Amino acid sequence: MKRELASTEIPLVDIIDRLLERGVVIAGSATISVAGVDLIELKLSVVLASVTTFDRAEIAG
Amino acid sequence: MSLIVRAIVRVRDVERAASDLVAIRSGDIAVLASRVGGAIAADEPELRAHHAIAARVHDAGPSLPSRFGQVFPNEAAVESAIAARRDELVESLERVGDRVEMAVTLTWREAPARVEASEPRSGREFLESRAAREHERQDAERAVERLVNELATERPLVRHSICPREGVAAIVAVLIDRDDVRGLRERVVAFDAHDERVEATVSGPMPPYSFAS
Repeated sequence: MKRELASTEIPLVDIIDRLLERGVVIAGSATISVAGVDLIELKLSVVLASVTTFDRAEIAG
Repeated sequence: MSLIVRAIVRVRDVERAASDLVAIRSGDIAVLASRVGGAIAADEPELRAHHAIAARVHDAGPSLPSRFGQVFPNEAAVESAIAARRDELVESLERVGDRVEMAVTLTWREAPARVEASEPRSGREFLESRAAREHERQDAERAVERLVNELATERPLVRHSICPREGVAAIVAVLIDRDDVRGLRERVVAFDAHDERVEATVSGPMPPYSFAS
């Protein structure tokens, strides 16, 4: 049963849904940022990036 | 170098979970983090790398996977941040344990009728648009109810978001024992086969992101 999670392929959309909106936050005042940009603002660009990725994947496919 | 938080584990699980990670201990728990030198891009490789680490840690023992992007300047800052929430985090770790999360996405078979008006031309159009959205939300809630009944899962072990994006009725997170993964997949497939309103797809298992806080 071990290594089960590490070896399971998860669609990018499910990873984005979880990593950016869920998961434990260890302090309300912690620096929740990436490259100095607040994550809430960054979320939009992340989603746009993933849509672009999906578009590329569709074209390639 | 800064530290990006990956997961929280019990101190006794640190050694087997994280030989290549920095462990910042505080009482019975430890924060596992990676050192990062510069800017972190929230792109697909970084997100997948974070997920891979969280998955590996949870495979090794109970953990609370971290939300992506929590960066601290040093160990002292992490230690100070968890001190205030330590008891709460210990409780969460006990509650979630070794269980895993499955993600069920419910997609409309037929898009609900919508009056789309980014700029409503009249009060009537505005009200119609709002009513349509509310109707869609209620419909989505009913679809989640049907799914949960099919899964025969306790309510506290299910969390969902309604109408998170166009075409999607709901995303349902289900916390289950590792031994139940195959059974849950089969029940979702059965639900998908007979539900007339939504299609259901399942992914996972993954670390319990939706139940970690």
